[in-house]
Amino acid sequence: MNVKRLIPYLTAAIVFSWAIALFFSSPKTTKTDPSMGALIHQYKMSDLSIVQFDKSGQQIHTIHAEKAETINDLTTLTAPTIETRVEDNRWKMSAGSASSKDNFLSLALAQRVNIEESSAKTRLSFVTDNLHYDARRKQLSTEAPVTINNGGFKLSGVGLSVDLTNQRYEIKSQVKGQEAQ
Amino acid sequence: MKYGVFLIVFLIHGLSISSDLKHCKTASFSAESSSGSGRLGEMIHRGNVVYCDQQVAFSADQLTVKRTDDQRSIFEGIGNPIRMQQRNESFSIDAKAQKFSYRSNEQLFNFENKVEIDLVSRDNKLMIKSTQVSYQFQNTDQTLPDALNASGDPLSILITGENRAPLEATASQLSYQHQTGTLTLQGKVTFNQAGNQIKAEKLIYNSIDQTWQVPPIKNKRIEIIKNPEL
Repeated sequence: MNVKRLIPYLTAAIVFSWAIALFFSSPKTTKTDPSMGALIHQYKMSDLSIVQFDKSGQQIHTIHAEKAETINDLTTLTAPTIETRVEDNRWKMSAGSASSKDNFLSLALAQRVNIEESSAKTRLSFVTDNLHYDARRKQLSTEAPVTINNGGFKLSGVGLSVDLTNQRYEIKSQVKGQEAQ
Repeated sequence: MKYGVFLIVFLIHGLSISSDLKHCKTASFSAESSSGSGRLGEMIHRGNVVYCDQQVAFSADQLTVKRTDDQRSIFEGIGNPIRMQQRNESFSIDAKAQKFSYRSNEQLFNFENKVEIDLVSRDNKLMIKSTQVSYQFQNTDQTLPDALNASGDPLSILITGENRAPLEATASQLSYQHQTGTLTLQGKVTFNQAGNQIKAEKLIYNSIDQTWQVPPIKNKRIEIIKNPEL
């Protein structure tokens, strides 16, 4: 058998095998969106901890989460805890999940949302199903049913807005209250 | 005939302010909306505010609840009108006004502007119309009135009850002690009962034994007109 005649076939077979192996071993985290023609960036993290500061170097808040997943601009947090301090008052928010599209400057919290405020004089706590946190304006809001404990009375109602700067809160409708035991 | 007119006035007046507010064991309230300030330690409830506890029940258009440093509550209500009620087996009080404050730890109500009070006890009904009334009740097992002070121009009183002629009076100040049944009227007092009329600067009336006395006051005239039919 003439070996020289087999060389082109052997070369073609080696190149073909190498091309197939390369195709199946290529990374999958970056792919092309056929409709947008843009890249999708996806990150997964565990035990996320972030401290954010504003332009003047003032701390905005700290965020902790058991898990975080980012797909392009949308970040979803699992079991997040957010803490922010406004003057002498410390506000702590926790929830089952949260999502943000603007680098945590606003967050939509969902599932067993708990908000606690503590200062030397007062102690406030709120519980609701979902909540919008605006870190720029230092405001919280929801249209969902809410329960509030202000130390003296336990209140319930529908819809809530909280101004963290001025420590003011408003229950929008259907308010009922009972003296805390 | 005259008693009939009083009876009609009594019934109309009674119906207008005595529809029951619910009492409750634990202090509770409802409102259309509420806002609170952690900094000021107060809450403002708005729209059809109804409050009740073991001792009182009241309603208002707006109710502000302030917490004192010792965690007591001060209530301030406005409305058109605000209403307050207390009930037990031996007495009832119904109040209407445009403004009130209530200090729960002191058992003290202050009513202002277009105040109307109905106090029913010992088969008597005392009706007061005034501009300012303070009402103190006893903090006993069974809530009872203690004292009631009123002032205003005009300040009018109507006392009705079984087996007695209605008593009408006007004055500028009134003080009522519930335990003794003593009603002290001061300042341009006019007192009318069964056609008898007294004008004096001060008059003390006992609503239990239905007696009255006019203490002498220097340089003040006492005028008594007796009904000739009696």
